[in-house]
Amino acid sequence: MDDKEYPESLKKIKNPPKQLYYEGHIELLKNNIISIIGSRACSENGIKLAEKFTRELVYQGITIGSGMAVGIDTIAHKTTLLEKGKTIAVLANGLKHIFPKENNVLYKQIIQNGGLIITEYPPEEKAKSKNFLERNRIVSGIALGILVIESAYRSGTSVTARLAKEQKRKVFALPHEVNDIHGVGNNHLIQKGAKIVTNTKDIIEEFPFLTYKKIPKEKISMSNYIKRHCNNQEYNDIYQQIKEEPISLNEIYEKTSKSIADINHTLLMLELEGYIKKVTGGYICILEKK
Amino acid sequence: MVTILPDMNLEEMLEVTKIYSILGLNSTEEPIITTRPFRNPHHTVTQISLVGGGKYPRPGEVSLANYGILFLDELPEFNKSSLESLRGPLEDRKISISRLNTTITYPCKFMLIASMNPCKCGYYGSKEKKCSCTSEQIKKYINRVSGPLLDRIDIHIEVNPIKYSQIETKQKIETSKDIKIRVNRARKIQIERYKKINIFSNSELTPQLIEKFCTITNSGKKILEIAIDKLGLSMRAYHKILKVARTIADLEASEKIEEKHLAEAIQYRSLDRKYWQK
Repeated sequence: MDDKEYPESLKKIKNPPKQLYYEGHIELLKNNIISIIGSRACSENGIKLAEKFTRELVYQGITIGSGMAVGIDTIAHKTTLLEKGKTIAVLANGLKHIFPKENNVLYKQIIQNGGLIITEYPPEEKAKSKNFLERNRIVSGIALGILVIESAYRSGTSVTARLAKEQKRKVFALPHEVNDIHGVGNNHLIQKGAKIVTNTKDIIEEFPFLTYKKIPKEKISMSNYIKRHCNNQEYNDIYQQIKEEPISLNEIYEKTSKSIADINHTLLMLELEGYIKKVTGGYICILEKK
Repeated sequence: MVTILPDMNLEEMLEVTKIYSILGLNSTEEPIITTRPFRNPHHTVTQISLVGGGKYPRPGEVSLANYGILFLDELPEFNKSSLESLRGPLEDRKISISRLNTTITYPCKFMLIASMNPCKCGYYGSKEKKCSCTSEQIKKYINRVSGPLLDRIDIHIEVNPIKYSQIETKQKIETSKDIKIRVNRARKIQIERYKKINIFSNSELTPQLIEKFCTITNSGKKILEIAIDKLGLSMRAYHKILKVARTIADLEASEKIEEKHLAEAIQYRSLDRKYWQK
């Protein structure tokens, strides 16, 4: 704890970790960090929001922290790497036992791309359920604030949010629809005083020492290929139906009164062109950054 | 399902009747079986009763479904070895059962139809209720159906639960009777087309014959190429897609396989795609 590399931010929190084990670039802890957290069992909408906010925060020069759990955490790390940003993973286990196992690749990628993995547990320590809650205090402790993408009622995510508040960190939460089971936790957080956030600017403006850089507008233009291959009107009719929430083939059929064959044709074209994506439950639209 | 199958011809009827008579399943009122069989064994079915066997080898469910449908409800619940034993019959369209005294080969030109839930709790991807499975559980559930078996299934369709309000829909639905007319017409086209090579349907096409009968346009080839690349489809899926596209074209009585037929066939291979894992 007395080491000069030990982050200042953690010294001030309640019950600071006595020691930190790390792999990668420890100096990242001096950067401006926002931790992005959310549920493990996330929705498609959650994935999309996590990708969007991670991408935009990286663009603002923020270092992204998270807990390398499945779901939103993994998305946050992966997106940061994709956008060539810096990311910090806080583990609930020793460096020798990566949990979950499938994130072994991610672990290596984070280190190779100038990221950092930290944990307060000795290398041999395996993941235990109580460690996860303890780990959360570091996820929020190293950061300027935390951004909650999605959380169910009474989840681990809401615990992190509570800890962050105690540590006097800013808590940002995305609002969700009242009936959205994946997002009710967020609405509770907002009720309890978390800052409601609808775009990246809302986060940046909370910190006087940061300046918001305007993000180039995402453009969707119809590609020549689709123009050539699909009847323009037909393409549009079907594309308009596909939104953030998955829509099934049958629903599109009911709404557009086109033949299944034609819809299938257009959907395949749209998918190949990267405008929509097939997920469980149907199709969702993805806006490609141009 | 049975109501939209094409009518059987005399040769088919005789073959099915023969198999049923081995087990003494023909009734006196209806000595010759004239409708295509529909078999739906329960998921507790043993490997022997599924593919055939016993001391004196008897035909199994796959042979009883000859020229008809073998329907496996709740596919992942079936015994793993029973499911895997279907791989050979699906490919060869016949099954040889060897015992100490004898080896018997039964035909099994059946159409396999199977249904399954997306996960253990059944709500993965549902809008109404939250899925309570972990990603590990979902993966485990899906993996009970092996890749090789999945690869042999031509058409995968995802269906969403329907609400009560949707049961009485105002939209005009094609009745089984109308569909059957289309199916019979398509079958006639196929029988006519394959007259010289002694097969009845698209499903019997071998890779060489696919090259000959399932020609696609250059733009079609392009789409297929991009699709296989982008959607992560296996090369094994390639021939399946061509066969299904040929059938879709036949159903529309179209001589050529057009781009839209191909696109529809590609759309039907949803389980091959990588999307099922988060």
